[in-house]
Amino acid sequence: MGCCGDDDGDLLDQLVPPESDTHTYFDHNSSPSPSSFAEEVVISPMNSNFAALVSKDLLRAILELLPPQDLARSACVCRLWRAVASEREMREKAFRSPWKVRRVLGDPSSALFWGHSRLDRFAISHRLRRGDTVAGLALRYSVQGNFVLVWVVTITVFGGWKELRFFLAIDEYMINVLLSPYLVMGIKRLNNMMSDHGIHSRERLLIPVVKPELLLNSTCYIEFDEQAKREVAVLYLEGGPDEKTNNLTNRAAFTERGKRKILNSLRRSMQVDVETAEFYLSFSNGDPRAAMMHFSEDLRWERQKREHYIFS
Amino acid sequence: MAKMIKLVSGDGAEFEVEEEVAFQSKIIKDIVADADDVIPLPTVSSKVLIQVIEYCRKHAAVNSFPLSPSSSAAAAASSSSSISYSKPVSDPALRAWDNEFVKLNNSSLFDIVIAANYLDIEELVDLVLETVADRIKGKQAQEIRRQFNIENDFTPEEEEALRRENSWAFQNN
Repeated sequence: MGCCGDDDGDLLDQLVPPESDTHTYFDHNSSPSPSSFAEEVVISPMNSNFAALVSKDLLRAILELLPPQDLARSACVCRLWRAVASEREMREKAFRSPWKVRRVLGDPSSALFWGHSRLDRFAISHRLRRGDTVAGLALRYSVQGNFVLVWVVTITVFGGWKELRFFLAIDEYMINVLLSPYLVMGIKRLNNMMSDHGIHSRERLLIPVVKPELLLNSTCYIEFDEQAKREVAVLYLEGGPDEKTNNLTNRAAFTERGKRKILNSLRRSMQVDVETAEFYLSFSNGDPRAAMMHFSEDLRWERQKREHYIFS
Repeated sequence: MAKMIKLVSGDGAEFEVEEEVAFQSKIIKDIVADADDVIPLPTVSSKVLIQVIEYCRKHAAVNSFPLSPSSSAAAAASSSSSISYSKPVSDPALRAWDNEFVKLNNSSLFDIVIAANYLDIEELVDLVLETVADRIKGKQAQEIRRQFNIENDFTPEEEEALRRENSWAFQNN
């Protein structure tokens, strides 16, 4: 094969005189070449081999394959690399490729924005409607988590091993319920909300993206959000910033069917009849998590009362 | 007997290759369609042409004779889900061969990718680009310069500005 490490076999020496660091073959300017890499090549005594070999197109094709961190470091290598690596399109590609976002429109105030593309760079824009609550939105946008995480959350939220048996019959809506408190915090933090009442003075809320699938093939808009006080790549689920298109993909507790599902989940988890579940749900203003908590408290109180009778 | 195509390198050496090997290059395939069996390649040196032919020979063999069950299954699978996958080579043996093939110095790699681009051999272009990108990943700027023998042509002020702008990238994640 002759290609492992040492790339000059004996055979080649017979055909070609030993290379003296010349690249006479690559006189791109003289011969007509269909190659898209054969652009203007600047050869100067100051530059090394590399610049003689590599045109902007070729360099671009290579740097395109780098994740944002490596791309940023590449910008620090030399002027040619800085020129290519700093091109907006390069940065944008590196930024959006981990999430397979199709396009990112808008220009950030600084290149630092492209620096990392962790999920917290993105947010969903939710146009507020009458009756929206932070808890309700958190439930609506929250994730279908995995079972292990649910156990951890359960123990943390309800604080005791005894309550674990209530969660044996967990299904996906209950998982949503249990994880949504974290999204509530996330929403408040992102929008700099001191309390739930902050919702009334706003037109829209940014929702942290917990389901990366939403970003697939999407178009995001770079915006500086006044409330969040930072730049975010915004995803509009219900149409673009001017809401011309209608692209609703996420529905949950709003519909009748959704509400019934929550009720049924609650009922199964509490192991009670429909009426009791309904009572607790309405008592907690439709918030299943609060319903669960109240129910749990009542149970504990009942148990203590019984024990008291036994031992007195 | 297989039809032979004659390739002539920039420095005048002639190479006869089987048609299917030469046809790994889309450009050559098009030229030959216009009934011309002798193809001059003035921008490609013999040294590089030999390496490119070697690659094409290996890949032509695999493409025409999918003998191993794994490779034919892979080929069947990839043809049914034909989304964006023109790139990855599914046969692990072939991939291993490719990895050995690209164990060359950067200078040779660039020669090859420029030739492969000229000849329109997509898989070879992708292979080399990925290889070079891998040599950049995880390195700091100074290491990259050393790897590719690049001179630092920034002024101290420029370097400082860049360091500030990109400081977040200097910690390895």
